[in-house]
Amino acid sequence: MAKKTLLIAGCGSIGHRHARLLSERPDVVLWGCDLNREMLEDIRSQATIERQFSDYKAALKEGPDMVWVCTPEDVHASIAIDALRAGADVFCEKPLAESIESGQAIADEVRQTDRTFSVGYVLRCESGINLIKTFIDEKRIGRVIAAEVCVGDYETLVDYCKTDHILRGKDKLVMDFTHEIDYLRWFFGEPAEVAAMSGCLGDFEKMPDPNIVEAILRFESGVLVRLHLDYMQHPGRRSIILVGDKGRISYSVGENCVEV
Amino acid sequence: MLGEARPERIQLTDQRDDWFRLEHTLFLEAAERGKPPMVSADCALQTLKVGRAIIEAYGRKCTVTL
Repeated sequence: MAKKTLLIAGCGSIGHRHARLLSERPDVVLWGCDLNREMLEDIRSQATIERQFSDYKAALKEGPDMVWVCTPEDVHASIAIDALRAGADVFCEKPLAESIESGQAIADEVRQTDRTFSVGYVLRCESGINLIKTFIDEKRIGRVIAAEVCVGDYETLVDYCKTDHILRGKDKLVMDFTHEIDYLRWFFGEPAEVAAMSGCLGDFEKMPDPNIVEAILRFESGVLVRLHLDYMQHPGRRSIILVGDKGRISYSVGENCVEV
Repeated sequence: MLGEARPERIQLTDQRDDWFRLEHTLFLEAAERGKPPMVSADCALQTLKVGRAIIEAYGRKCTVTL
């Protein structure tokens, strides 16, 4: 079997997880790249890393077949575009980029290459979310009218602070919890309107502004969604309730039980 | 009149690592066989635009004061 060489660009928390699990596969050889020498060394405790680089451009010159972009999102575009131009297939962690302009630049580059490019919205691989998608398509609860989606996790904020990039973006909360926006679009199509309020509330050691957002989205299909995001709850919670004209679905990711 | 509702509970067994393993397999298959990716750049760009719209919405503070 010809093994693919796969460069993990960014060896922080999510890079570690990808490297550890990709290491189990017999069909890939892993390379690692990070500016931080300590993180680069640390990843070797969990994954078999054949080569290490501190400069991703030097790594790209060695011709990896694939690049896994696991850096903070403000450098996704530069790494992803350089990797595509170097002829690599690219897997990019979510969100696509830190701005619409950078995201558009990636999408434009993907169109100009014949490489495979995908974004890591891993909840699409989670069985509960997949089951809910199937139930929606089968009209198990009739026509879906409304949804209530909640995600809150103080620990996510604490983890970001460890790697010192939480406060680079004022709007980190929304950009951090884009899984919900992704699967809601997967479920219901495109949103047509949005209203929202935010706050910096409570008494926590770490308090970015905002640390809570309440949004209401009306989808083109007519579905109304209330979306709650916070950096407050500990332990974290990720839940969804769908209301249809013939029933209700409720699910908390992590509790492994869908109720219909 | 609605009858008595008895919710069905469906137990799942997958764990977080399993989601990532599946994600890896889907990406490697897509690259190998030229299949469409699970989440394309254009799709993720739309998600980014919705996120930015939420940020713009709370930034405007367009509310009715009581």
